[in-house]
Amino acid sequence: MTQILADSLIYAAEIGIIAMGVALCFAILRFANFAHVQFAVVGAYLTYSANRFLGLPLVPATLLSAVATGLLAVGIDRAVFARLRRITPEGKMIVSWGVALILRAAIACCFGGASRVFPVEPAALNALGAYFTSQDVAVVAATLAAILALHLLLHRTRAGTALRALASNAELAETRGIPAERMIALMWLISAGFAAIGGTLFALETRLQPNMDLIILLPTFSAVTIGGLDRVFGAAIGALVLSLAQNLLIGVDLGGLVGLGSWSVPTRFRDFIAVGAMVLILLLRRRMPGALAAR
Amino acid sequence: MIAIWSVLGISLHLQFGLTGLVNFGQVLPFAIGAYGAGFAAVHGAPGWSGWVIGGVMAPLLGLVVILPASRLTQDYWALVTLGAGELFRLAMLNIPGIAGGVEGVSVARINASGTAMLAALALLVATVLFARRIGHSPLGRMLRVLREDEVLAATLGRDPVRFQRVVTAISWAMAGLAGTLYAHVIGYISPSAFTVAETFLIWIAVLLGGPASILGVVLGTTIIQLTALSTRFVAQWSQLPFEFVANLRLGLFGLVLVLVFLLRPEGLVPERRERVDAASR
Amino acid sequence: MLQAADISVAYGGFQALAGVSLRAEAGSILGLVGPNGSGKSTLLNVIAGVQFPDRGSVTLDGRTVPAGRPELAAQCGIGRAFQIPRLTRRLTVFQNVLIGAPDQPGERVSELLLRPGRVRRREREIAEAAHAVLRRVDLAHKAQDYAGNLSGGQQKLLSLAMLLMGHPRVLLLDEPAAGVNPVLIAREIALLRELRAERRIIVLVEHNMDMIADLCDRVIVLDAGEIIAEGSPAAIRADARVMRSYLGEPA
Repeated sequence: MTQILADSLIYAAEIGIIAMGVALCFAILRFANFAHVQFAVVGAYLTYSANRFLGLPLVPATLLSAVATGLLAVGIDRAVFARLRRITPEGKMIVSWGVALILRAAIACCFGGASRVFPVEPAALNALGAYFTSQDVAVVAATLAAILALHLLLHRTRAGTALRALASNAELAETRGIPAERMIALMWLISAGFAAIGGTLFALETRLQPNMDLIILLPTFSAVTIGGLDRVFGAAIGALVLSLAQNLLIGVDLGGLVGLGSWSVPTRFRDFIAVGAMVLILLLRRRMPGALAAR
Repeated sequence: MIAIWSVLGISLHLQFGLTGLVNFGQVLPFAIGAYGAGFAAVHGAPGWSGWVIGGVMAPLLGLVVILPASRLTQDYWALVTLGAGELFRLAMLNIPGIAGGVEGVSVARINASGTAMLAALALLVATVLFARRIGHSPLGRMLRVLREDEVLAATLGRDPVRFQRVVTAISWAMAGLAGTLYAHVIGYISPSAFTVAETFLIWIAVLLGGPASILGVVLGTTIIQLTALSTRFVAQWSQLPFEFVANLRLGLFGLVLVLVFLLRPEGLVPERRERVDAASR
Repeated sequence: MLQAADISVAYGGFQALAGVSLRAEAGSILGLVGPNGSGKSTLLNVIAGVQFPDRGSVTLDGRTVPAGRPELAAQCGIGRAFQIPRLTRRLTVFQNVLIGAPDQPGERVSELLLRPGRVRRREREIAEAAHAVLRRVDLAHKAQDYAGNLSGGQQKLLSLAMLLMGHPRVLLLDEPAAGVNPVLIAREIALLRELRAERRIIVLVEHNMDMIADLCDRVIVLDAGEIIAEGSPAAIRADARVMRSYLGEPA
């Protein structure tokens, strides 16, 4: 059982960071950014490059990659999203898919289709009846650190307060003199930076390959949805919930519980659970309150 | 091939171009149609039952999907349809009993390419005529109103949900039939042909050509399909590896999508002022 | 007779309407005035079914109008014109008026396919009615322009025209004179008088006091979601409470 919990925690950490970025973007710009997972992939590749070709140790490489990806995101915003502030949310989603395709193609062209592995040798550990590695510990620790840092930023700094104001009521925030565009740039920095870190962690845990984005896409969006779409910390919790749900459903002998003979959800249904949860939550959402039309 | 994908494009035209409904799972009815054929093949049912499944199941499912649409804002509904499409694909992938699982399944193939072409064109022509009839009718008029302002339609005594249901049913039926035809033309279906990427391919084609015009949709589909098919030739001609060119193509599509939004949101063929009234002076 | 009983609406802590009731007889024009934010538009929305009240009901000639379902309210004969006119900008003025007509077999797929003759005939009828209505509101010369290209005042007239196509028993008009030039206002006033003579019920929200005084048989004054005065235009003009609500507390 503790193994299940440990695995869930690790997986949740990887996905959670990325999911938080999506939620942040949703909170400020009000659309689901499909390109976000691409930021994660870009970040992972940049870290790898910094590590392999520049010889930087992992931690600085990751940080460098996070900053670089963040700047990339700001650039993309300037070029594309900034000009499209006024279109419908679903329109922004479609555009973000376009951006995602461009990024994906760029990565594939630069790095080729083969998968690579980070040159790390983690130590194997064992505690409380679960097996994991020192790398796993680092991953979870990194995530927790990131969450803490974000919390401090959002609640203890002026910039953070400005961001939260923008998220809750954009028009009001602007009339109070909050520089929306600069805050949006900050949001992209954080969001993409988190994606980059998350992508790196994910690649560390599994491997680095161009179609990482497809593997990450569904669980990430599912986590964000579970967490409440525009709730940043909710996304982290959503990731945990999803991860637990997946591992529990797959790992626990459900058949045995109900007394029907040994059966558990086959492993392949992992994604199914993720998407199913997402759809379910969306369907169960209450309609937006207030304003016109009682439907 | 172009014909088949054009039918898909037109189905989206009805939903989005005319009515303003944003559906990210259009591959779903397509897949249902294709899998209808596959299902029939696997379980030994006669060939025509695949068509029935495609033409009937698809709109039924569409109605199920549209049910929550009235409660959800457009972008949430878009995500739901996306999820629904993926759920279907994953189900097909992971439950081998239905239609072959990962392996996919072979379906009775229309071997004479002439017949295939004819069938596709027939479907396309039928679809175009139907879509035109709707577009030029009072129904089309009201759909355009719905696209712009649902509340207006309601205060004029129309029930927006009924219209959305009708359009979705028709649109999904079209897509379903296209799917079944696709299965019979290709002769083989597997879950990997029906991913989110396919949905967006249709979207790019529609958006590029002009979602509000049938001509635009067909044009857009043609461009995209030709580009896709030419990848092999470009690779050979330029001596670059196929993988590379394929990725370039994807990036190109992404670029096209972004550019359309930035430069020409109406698409290549914008909506003409339709003469939707019988006796206007 | 139109009757709204004890309507209350609140959004997130803010009470837009508190127990408001009104009555209007057939062939009368009821004025609804009050400072901005007093709940006038909300009240119209509730009657038209566009908004769901927390409490209260609306009846027309004794039959209850379903709440929160604008299409059903419209089918009962209630028409609403909005403060910011709702139109289809991408269609022409003529087409906009066409959609105002309620019973259109052409909007059903079965009719389109099986009874095209009937669809065509009805289209012709509607087209003629549309021309007539456009002449009535003096917009005939703009028939082929896109609705989005009209001036504000013309758009209000277009809204009115669209409304009239449905032969509504009740017309709920939200500031039809705001931003409209005096010539068109006079036209509107004449039109409303005709409609009153046709025994329709008109509820008019306006800030233009002259128009209110000129047209209305009775006036209700709202402030902060409550009725503070009710009576003839002259009586309202002289009412101290109304003065206070519009001009603020005297120093």
